[in-house]
Order: sequence, then structure tokens, then C-alpha cells
Amino acid sequence: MSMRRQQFLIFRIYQFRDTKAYGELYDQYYDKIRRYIYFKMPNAEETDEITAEVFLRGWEYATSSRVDNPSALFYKIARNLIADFYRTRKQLTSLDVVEEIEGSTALEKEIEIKHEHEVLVEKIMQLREEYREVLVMRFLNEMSIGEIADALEKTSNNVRVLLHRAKNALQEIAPER
Amino acid sequence: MSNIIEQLKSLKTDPNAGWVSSAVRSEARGKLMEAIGHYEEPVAVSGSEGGVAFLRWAFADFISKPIAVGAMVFALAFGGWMGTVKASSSSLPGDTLYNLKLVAEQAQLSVSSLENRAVLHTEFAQRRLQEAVAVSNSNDPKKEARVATAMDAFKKELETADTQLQQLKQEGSAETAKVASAIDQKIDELSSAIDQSTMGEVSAEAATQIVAAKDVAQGVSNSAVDVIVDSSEESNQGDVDMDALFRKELSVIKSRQITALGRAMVVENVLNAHPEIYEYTSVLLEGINSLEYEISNADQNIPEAMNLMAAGGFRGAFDIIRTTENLMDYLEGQLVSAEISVTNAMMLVSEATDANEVDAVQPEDETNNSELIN
Repeated sequence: MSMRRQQFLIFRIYQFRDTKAYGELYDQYYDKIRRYIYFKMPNAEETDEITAEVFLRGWEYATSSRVDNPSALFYKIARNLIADFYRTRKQLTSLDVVEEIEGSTALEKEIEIKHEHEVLVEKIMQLREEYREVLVMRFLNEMSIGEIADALEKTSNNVRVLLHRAKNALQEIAPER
Repeated sequence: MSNIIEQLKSLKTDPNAGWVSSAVRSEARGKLMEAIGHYEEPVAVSGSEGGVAFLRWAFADFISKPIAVGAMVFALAFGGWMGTVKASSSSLPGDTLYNLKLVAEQAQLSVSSLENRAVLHTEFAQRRLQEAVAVSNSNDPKKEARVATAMDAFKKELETADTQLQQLKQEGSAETAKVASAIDQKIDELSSAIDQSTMGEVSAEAATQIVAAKDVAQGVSNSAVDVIVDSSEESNQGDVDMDALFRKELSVIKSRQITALGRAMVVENVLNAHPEIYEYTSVLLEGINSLEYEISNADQNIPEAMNLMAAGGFRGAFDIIRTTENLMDYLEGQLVSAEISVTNAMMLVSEATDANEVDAVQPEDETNNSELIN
């Protein structure tokens, strides 16, 4: 979907509370946002809850405030909700430490490690959170460097460096085919 | 390397990597659409009307960025329409669009991180204060109630900001000191605005609310400073300029001393000029002189605080600041009691004087009347 089309949908949502227009945006971003959240949550149920909340809050925001970049908005809401989720669970450590805990939590996920994809996912979950983020956004969500930079509120150069390091880190721990 | 990239891309349609079937996607979509009221029909807009409106919308985004001089002509042509886009942001309690303003604020909070939310609440407190001032200076027949509501909301926003700041501190957020500094700075602006605001005629109750609001602001400011000091000592990092913060706190104490001394002098002058009020008040000249002495010396421990700051003992230095502020609170309370007592005494003296004048006149009138009757 072109940016122009997205701007038109945003206009319809803000000006007329057009639910059909919001449905189109939802279709555009649902898979990407859910996948982004999936790699940060302990299980699929909580992934779906957070995902649903992202789009509900996105609707509240888009109908009352002007949105420049819907992609950045949804990712920002997702990051904040994930942070709040771990806060509520009284995870008092920083997210960097949480990601290490998540690595072991991933092992506790109900996944039978048989298929090579499952092993690869397990390895991805062991990576540092910021590495995991950029790998998922770049290669699974097929986002451009600029889109990732907007979503994570970083510079494009930062994203390029992160991607390079993330690929190297995964290469070290992932099995060869 | 290309192998690992291909492996990653192959995960795109794998359920173990977050992919879901179209059935699951549709079900989730259905729930969302129901939640946002999809049964409502969107406003019917004709093709040309909608297209023109969207062009204006897109143009508004265009001219909000730096533009060439030539394009300003178009900006002026659209000026009237542009004004309505942000109409709700300037609305006041009681206005039609005011609820929309509050809804937009809630939406802003809902998409913000905890760090940003804490600062946003202080910004919203500033808006409530501005609204209270604007309403109090208006001819709104319900302004008393609306000022009280706005000041109540002001206090709640600050209290929420404080609660969230304490939560950040408890979690050991790396941004705690910066957030506390931003909140403290914002509250300084609020306190100045409260002092300088020219509120219209409001009831004693609303005036009391304003004083209470300022107390809340001071309390949250103290809390924010405590967080800054604690964070600085724990991390040994210079995220916040502690010297500047200390100088600012010192400046506030000095300012309070000067104001309190001025007020005490007014009371002293009244006592000197009207000795007749001693009959109606327990405030004595010696008492006011003693109070003035205590106010002048309230900062006697500040040199010790300065030495502690120089040695890096931030906690000890700010503890002295806090003790000095508490002392000023006590002395200002004494001063308020003296002012009220002297004011009441002046009123009683005035009433007594009026009564004596009436008594002095009345016997002569009765004599004249009796002569008339006879």
C-alpha cells in the first residue's frame, strides 16, 4: 500500500471516524505488528491480547489526533504495551536483562524442537532484544531501513549497524543448513 | 551470510515465527471492528467534496513544514479553514469541544511510554491551570464551579506525574533522573504562573483551592528533586546539573525570605500606626520583630549545605535545603496567622468607631424629636 493511500485512510479515520478505512490499515499492519510482538511475548495468547490492544489504541489515537506515520505509531504503541506488560508482571530488571530471561522463557514455550524452523526461532529468541527486533522487522516483515528507523525511533545508520551485528550474532549461534 | 538471510525469510509464513492463518486473522479483525463500532455508517461524502477536503488535509501537512515565500499566498487563502483543525486545543471547560480536547489528551497518554506519560501529566497540569485562569477572567456564570474543577484536575495531574515518577524510580529506569528534572522544571513554570496569574474575582473557596494546588505543586517538586538527588548518588553520573538544581532551590528560599520579610514589615507598620488595635489582637510588635529575625536567619545552615555540595555530598546538602523549606513553611504560617489577626482587629476597631459615632449622634436627635412631639 502506498504512503499516499495510507495518508488518505488516516484522513478518513480522523475526519469521519471511518471504520472501513481503519480496517484497511489493520489489514496492512496486522501480520507485521503481531510478529513483532510474538518475538517479545512468552506465549501466543498474550501476543494476541497485546496485538488487539495495539490496534484499539491506534484507533483511539487516530480518531482524535493527527497521525503522520501509521507504521511508526503502531510500533510505538506495541513497544509501550510490551514494556507495561512486563512492568505489571513485576519484572524490575531492565529490558536487556528481560530479553535474556525471555531467551530461557522461549525454551519453556510449548514448541517441540523438531523442525529446523523451530530451532532457528529458538536461536533468534536467544539474541539480544535489539538484534531480534531488527532481524524480524527486516527479513520477516520486509521493512526498509528507513521504516525500521522510524518505527524504532533510531537513525538509519544505527539500524544498519544493528542489522550487521544482528546477522553476525545469529550466524554464530544458528546451525548451518 | 546469504544462507542465514534466506533462512530468516523462510520463517515468514511459519506459525512458530508469529504467522497466523487467514481464519485467525479474520476472527481478530472481526473483534476489532466490532469494538470500534463498525456497524456505524461513515459520514457520506461526495466524491468531489471528499477529494477537496483531503487535499486541504494534505496541504495542511505541507504548510506545517518550512515553505517558500510564494506558497504563503495559498496558506493565507486557507487560513480560515486551518483554524478549525486545532479548535479543540484552545477550548475551555464548558465549551462544546472541551471533551474532545480531553479525549485527545487521553489518546496521547495511551500511546506513550511511562517516561513520557509522567512528563505529559505535568504538561496537562499546565493546561488545566491556564484554563482555570482563563475561565476565572471570563463572564461565565458558572465560572466558580469550573475554576474549582480545573484546579482539582490540575492537582490530580501533578499527583499522577509524581506516582509515575516514583514507579520509574522503583524500576530503576535509566531515564528517571531526566524525567524528574523535566517535571521539576515544568513545576517551576507552573508555580511562577500561579504567582503571576491575575485571577478575576473568585470566591474564597476557589482561592483556597488555588493555594492548595500550589502546595501540591511544591510537594511534587520536592519529590522530583529527591529522585534526582538519589539517582545522582546511586549512579555517580552527571545526567542532571546538580549545581544548577541546588542554586535554583537556594534562589527559591531567598525569594520566599524576601517576600515574607516584606509582609512582616507591613504588619509591623500597621501595629505602629494603629496602637488601638492591641485591644483586639494578641499580635505584639515584639512578636513581629521576633518573627522577622527568624525569617532572616532561616537560611543559617545554607553555608554548610554549600560545603556539602562542593564535596559531592548531594544528599546532605539537599536535606538541609528541605529542612530550611520546612522552616519557611512554619514561619509563613505564623505570618499568615498574624496578618489575619491584625486584619480582624482593624475591622473590629472600625466597627467600634462607627458604633461610638452613632451613639454620639443619637442623644441629640432624640432631644430634637421630643421637642417636636411636644
